[in-house]
Amino acid sequence: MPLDHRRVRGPEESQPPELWAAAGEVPVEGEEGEDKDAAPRDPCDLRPLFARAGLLSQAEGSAYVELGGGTKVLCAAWGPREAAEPGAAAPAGTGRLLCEFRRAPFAGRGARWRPGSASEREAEREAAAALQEALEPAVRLARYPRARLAVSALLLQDGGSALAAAISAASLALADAGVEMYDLAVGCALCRSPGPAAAWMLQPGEPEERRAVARLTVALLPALNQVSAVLGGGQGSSPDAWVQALRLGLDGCHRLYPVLRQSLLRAARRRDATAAAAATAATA
Amino acid sequence: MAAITMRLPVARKAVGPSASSRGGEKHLVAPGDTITTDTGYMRGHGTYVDEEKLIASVAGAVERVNKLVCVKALKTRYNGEVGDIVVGRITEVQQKRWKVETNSRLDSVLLLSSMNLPGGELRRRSAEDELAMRDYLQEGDLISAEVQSVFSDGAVSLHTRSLKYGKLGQGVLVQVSPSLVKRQKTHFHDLPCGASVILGNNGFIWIYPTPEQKDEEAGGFTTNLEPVPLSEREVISRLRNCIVALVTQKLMLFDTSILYCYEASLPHQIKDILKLELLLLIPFKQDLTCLFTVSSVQSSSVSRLPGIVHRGALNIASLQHPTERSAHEAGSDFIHICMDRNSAKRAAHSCFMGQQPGKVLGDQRRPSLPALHFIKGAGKKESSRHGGPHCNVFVEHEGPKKSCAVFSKDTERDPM
Amino acid sequence: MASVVLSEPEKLYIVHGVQEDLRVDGRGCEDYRCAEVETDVVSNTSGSARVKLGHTDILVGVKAEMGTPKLEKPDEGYLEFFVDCSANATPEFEGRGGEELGTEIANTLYRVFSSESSVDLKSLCINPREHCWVLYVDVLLLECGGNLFDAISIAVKAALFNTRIPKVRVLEDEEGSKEIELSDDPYDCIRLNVDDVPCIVTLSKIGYRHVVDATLQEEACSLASLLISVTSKGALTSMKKVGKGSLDPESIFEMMETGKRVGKSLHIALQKILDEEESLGTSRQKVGFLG
Repeated sequence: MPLDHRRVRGPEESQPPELWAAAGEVPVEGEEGEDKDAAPRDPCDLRPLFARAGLLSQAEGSAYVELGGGTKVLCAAWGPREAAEPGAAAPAGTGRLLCEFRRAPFAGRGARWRPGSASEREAEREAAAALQEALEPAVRLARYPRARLAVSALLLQDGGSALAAAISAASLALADAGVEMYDLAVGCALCRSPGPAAAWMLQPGEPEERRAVARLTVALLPALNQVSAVLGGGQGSSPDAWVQALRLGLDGCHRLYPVLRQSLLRAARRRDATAAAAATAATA
Repeated sequence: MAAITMRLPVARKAVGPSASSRGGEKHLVAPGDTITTDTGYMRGHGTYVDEEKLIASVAGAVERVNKLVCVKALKTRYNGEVGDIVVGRITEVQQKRWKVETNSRLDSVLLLSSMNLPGGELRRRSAEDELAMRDYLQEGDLISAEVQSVFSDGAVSLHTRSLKYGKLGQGVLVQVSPSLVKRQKTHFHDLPCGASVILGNNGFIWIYPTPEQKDEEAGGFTTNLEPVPLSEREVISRLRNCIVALVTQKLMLFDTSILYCYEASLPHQIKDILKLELLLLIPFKQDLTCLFTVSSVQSSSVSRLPGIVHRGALNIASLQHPTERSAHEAGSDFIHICMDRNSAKRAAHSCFMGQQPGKVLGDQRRPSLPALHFIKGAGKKESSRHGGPHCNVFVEHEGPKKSCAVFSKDTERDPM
Repeated sequence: MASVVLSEPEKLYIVHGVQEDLRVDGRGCEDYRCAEVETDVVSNTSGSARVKLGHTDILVGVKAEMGTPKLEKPDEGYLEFFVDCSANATPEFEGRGGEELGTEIANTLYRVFSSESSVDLKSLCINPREHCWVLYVDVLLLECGGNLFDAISIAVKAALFNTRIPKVRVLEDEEGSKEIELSDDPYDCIRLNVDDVPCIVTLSKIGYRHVVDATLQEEACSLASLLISVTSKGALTSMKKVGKGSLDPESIFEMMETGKRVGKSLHIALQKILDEEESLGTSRQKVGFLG
């Protein structure tokens, strides 16, 4: 990024004023205040999910997923193309899946972060690796020898459960691109708020996620009933508690699956209709 | 139940006097050391001449063959020699040839024309064969082969024109330093403990279940994908750990040393063999070296050697001693058949000649049976260009520990 | 990562062996290879440890440096992880080759230590909002022989156990300016409580079963593995699936159960050896890199 040295710039790091508020004072904010008043949320509640496939014209496949709390992810799938260096990383006979995860500079709720900062890049790279691990088992890479498939996810707004939404969107985009897949990968996030008896909640919103002591993202291939990604951490708890969380998460994936499937079918139908219209126009 | 052992590291002991007990100190040199200023010597591998001095270019032991002086590096990659048996892994399929990783400086080459086609057919290689190369051998496959020639750049050309060579099936590969594999007449061993090994000269050691019958029809291209039974797995795992243990102790690998180690390990669990406490306990270092270098052992001193070393020492002693000797003499607690060269030959020819090679007169894996005889290749001419009449006689008699006494004898060199 | 190529029959042999609970090196599915642990191997660090697990060789150095606390947590110190994949381990790591693996491991370590209870970060704070101890945990991979994550986590725990942070006092004069005084006595130091530091247990799915402490060959046969970090009390602090394959939900539950069990005994074995080394004190002959 070109820098203008003539201008006096602000300090490298800025600090949000909340951090300097006196300790013990509860920041009165819209969302969190509402949370307090509202009845305790049903942990099994899923936020409304909106998905649309095939909305970008240039990419082979694309998808957009929006979650109720304000998470917005846009995904594009490119390829398969000839891999630049054949058979370098992947074993011969299978294709390569490259994933990218980007956060828009304004995606977060707080101050804008400087794009390209080291920590930011690191976080993005980790999310990209998680995305790749979640998608690889779903894609029939053996059908694309010497080729490479690229998926890029752009997080426009982070309202919690971003990685899970990105996984769902990316698998939609791949399916929309006509890539051979075993199954769709459906992502679902969970988190556990502090407190000894706190239960795991499905699809946390951003404030919930920020306060959580443990987070978990799972991805499921629903038709095969195979788990393609598990990524979580936080305060220690017994394996049984994690098993419960996993079950809850997988159940959430199963419930989200029809929505994704519908959106994919709708995109296919739309294309079919346009093709049919074109065909009738041609014959007429 | 999970078994986790952790320990504090133990400093390696300084090299003991074993080096000197090997019958004469080896002349060890470092690069740049002057080996000799005598101009009468010829410059071999690992040396160079500067100002009429013969100087070492590698660290290792000086070897002298008449006027030729070489320095053999003790840990190095494999230097191919014609006739060596190697085990290698296919890395690349090219036109009319495979590239094979054999721990050598450059990838080795296996030409399509220097391979027996499946079924052992001998015919010209057609274009179809060329297209089907990947069906025969593909990347990652292991093969056993023989070195056909060595190119000037050190690359090795292999051939598998014998039914003993070819693709390897199920088993375990252990990679060791090539200098630890002893050169022997045969590198294929069907060990009496119930598994077979191929000791590749390149340091690749392949341990596999002894095939039931040598399927000569297949020509080594169909691999048996049936699960290997647990009993054989145990033997293979134990052998693997024994070989690793021998290698960590820097002991030469050949059939007898492996068998001794195998027997010594029998009281222990397989997974415990590699625990360092036990590694240090197994007193092979001293005993095996003296075992295999000693030219003649007094029977009285033999009897004082403990357990397994006993038999080994006796074997060697008797092999190298012209007189007939038995363990009774040594006053030991087991019965052992030992013979000098002539009687060994006699034995092989008279008692064992009529037997089928490989026939097991009793199951040596079930020591409850009283007397066991295992004969391999007795009196049978092997087809290999190297294998002369070869005779391995394994005799076991009742003893307190019921382990195998091994008697290995090559009759080829004997004056007939 | 360093990887090996195996032929199909070799893989089959390994898979069948795992099925029968007899692995190639004679271990059962839940057995670790014999591990060697030594602490205090690098004197320039506040704490260091070297762990050898089979052919995997890990060196961890912890350096305590003074820094400013993070804004979100003004009264806590923090840990920084850095993983260096040295080209000594495998030529593939040359140049930037090991960077990706290094970041992956470092991220995993951050995740494992994300639980607040793992290390008492409050004790690392010297002066809220101004000064705290930052523990730079540098992991070097000297040799890769499979099961990197477990070996690294063992080494990190051992190094943290070995870490000694000099005691400092904050002096405040009349004008309100603060001064930090370092204790004169080099033995006057604080030590970390590592009871709740988790260890990673990697469970590799091979065939229908899973194994712990997979060798490189076994890793080549495994399509997916589950990384679990377990504390000595058996609590799970993080989990992650790695690898190209997917896992059955039921097998994940089984793996978590195994991971907890194995993790507990791993902690017991490690603590025992650390205590033993400590009790020997200076009487023990240091081995270091001459072993």
